[in-house]
Amino acid sequence: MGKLNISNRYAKAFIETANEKKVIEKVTEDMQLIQNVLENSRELRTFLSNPIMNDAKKIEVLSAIFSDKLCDVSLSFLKFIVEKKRINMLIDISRRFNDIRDESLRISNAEVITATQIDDTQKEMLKTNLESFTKKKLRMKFKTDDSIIGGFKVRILDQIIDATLKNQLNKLKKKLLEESISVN
Amino acid sequence: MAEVRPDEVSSILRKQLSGFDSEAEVYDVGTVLQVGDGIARVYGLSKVMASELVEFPNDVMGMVLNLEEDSVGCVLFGESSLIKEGDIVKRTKRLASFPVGEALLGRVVNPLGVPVDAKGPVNHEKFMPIERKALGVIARQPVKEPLQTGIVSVDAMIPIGRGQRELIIGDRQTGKTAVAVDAIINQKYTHSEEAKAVGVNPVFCVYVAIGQKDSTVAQVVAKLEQHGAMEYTTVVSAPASTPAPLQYIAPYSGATLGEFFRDNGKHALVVYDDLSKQAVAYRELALLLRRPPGREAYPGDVFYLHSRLLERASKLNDSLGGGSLTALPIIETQQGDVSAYIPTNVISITDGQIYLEPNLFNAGVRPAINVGISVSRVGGNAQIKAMKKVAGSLKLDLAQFRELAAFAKFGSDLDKATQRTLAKGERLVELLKQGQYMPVPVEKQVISVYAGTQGYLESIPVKDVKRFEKELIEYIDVNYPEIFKVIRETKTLGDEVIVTIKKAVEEFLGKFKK
Repeated sequence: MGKLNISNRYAKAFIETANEKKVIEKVTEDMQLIQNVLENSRELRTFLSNPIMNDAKKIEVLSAIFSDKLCDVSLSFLKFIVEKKRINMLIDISRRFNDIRDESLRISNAEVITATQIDDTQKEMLKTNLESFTKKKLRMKFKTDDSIIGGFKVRILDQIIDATLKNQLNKLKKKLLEESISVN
Repeated sequence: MAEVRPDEVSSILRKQLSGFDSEAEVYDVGTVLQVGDGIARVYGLSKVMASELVEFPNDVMGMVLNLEEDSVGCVLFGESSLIKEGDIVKRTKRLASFPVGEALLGRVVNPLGVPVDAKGPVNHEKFMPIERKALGVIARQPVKEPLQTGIVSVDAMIPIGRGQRELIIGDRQTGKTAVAVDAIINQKYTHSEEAKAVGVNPVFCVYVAIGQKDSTVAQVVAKLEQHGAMEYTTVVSAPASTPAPLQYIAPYSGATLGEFFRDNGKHALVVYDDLSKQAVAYRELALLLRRPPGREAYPGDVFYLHSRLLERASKLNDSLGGGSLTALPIIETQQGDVSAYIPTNVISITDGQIYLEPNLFNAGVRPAINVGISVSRVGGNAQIKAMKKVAGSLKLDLAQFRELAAFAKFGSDLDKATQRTLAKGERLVELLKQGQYMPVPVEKQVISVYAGTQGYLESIPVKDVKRFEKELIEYIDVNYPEIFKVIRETKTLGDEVIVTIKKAVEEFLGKFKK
């Protein structure tokens, strides 16, 4: 069974349980925390996927890290997936969980690349414009990259809005080359 | 010294820049996960369509074939070494398509419509998707017009109608391509004023070369040019050096161009040379895409691969313009094995087959058509009445001859009747021999076949049969030109004409002996 399949099933089941117990908001926060921790700590990832470490040890470590930060439902979920021998997939499950939650809440991540730093009012304007364009709530992330020369580039899921100077110059170059071919 | 004024320069630049919009571009993207062997797996591209064209870096195009849960499988139409993991893939929102229009006639293009003949860009009318669903029952009508190939044995015994699918099958080096190329060359007549006057509509041709040597394709193009056939022909070339995906889509591109003519009420002839190579290219793709292999390692949908292509051949009904698309697929067999997977598939799809045999070829019977096992299931309705009348007994005579020839090999004494049948058969076989690139107009075919079946050749030695035929036709052309005219115009053989033909042949018979 594929990675996507497995994480999909665990994530969906967990969302349902959390919904039944009416703790979905807290659980969502928990899963975001777990994803962040795992993404930032390579040691924890390798530890969890190491088959030499036994389940008891993994539960012990997990509760030492998370016990005072997570709610009971999330902690018991962690224990459950350790027992099911799927703890090595925790990062995929948490990612999938957050993706599904985002989808149902109509939230997307938007990555904005600009040539220079832009100020907060500009950021806010960009956000409101993009939100009205995509009809979704956006979680903005800003980056700078001077190779784009000017303008900006936004990536929302698989969609790219390209208003960079670099792209326009490339398009101009292509157009001029085409014309020179048809002239010959 | 000549001067260039600055405002002149800027006006030229402004002209070049007109129509360039500097708006933001919105596009969908994915990332390459894995690339190799002409296949790329792409993550993302979440709204992509099956068989959509996608753009990789370095101007490499690809086509989406597999839509999976967590990735998209693409085939590449260019070098896979130009692409690396993590590259951005752009959607084009355009299904794989082919440029169509009259401007493609006389050109050699690749399966994406890019010219490869160094004659500059093609001014096509529009793009049409290469994969189109075949027309249904209501849009069609039975095949009724003949498509003359100019090959006597085909037009007399295995007639092909406009809208038919006739398979040309045989081992390597048996003259399969020659039959198809002759058929294309013979369509030159349909573009003449004379043909227009007698109600024969022009046939536009498409020759699709799949997995052949570049030199072979160049040779065919040269031959077509030499005979003035490139004026109404497009060559779609996917030689052996092109990646398998291009070889796989080549026949669909050719069919798309043929459909353009058909849908505009014109007539088209498409030659797929050859589909066994296309099946091999498709097998390569399917295996690389990890589709499960079946018989002879071909994927499960290899039947559909050919059936959906050949079903596009059709004769439209009159309310849709009455256009037609005739398909001449070619299949190469290995050691005459027609029961292999691909040959049986294509035989079952087509409306008949022309079977070429190496034995006949080596015995000097060229075109090496085995008329015993070649059939045409619908073409009989399309044959002109005159030909039908004279060719009726031809097939039977030849069948009897073959049966007796097998016995006669034992060398025992033969009775008179047997000897006569053998003699007639030998002469008929001789009569059906024909040189390459020498198509014969149908009215002349009628005369030759008439002379053969009516027994006028009995007194002619076998070695003189071809000379007799040639001189007879010249004689009639000079002394009785009205015979050809009547057959051309009425397409029938009335009693009066038969009397004239009989008179002419008997007259010539007397002169020939002298």
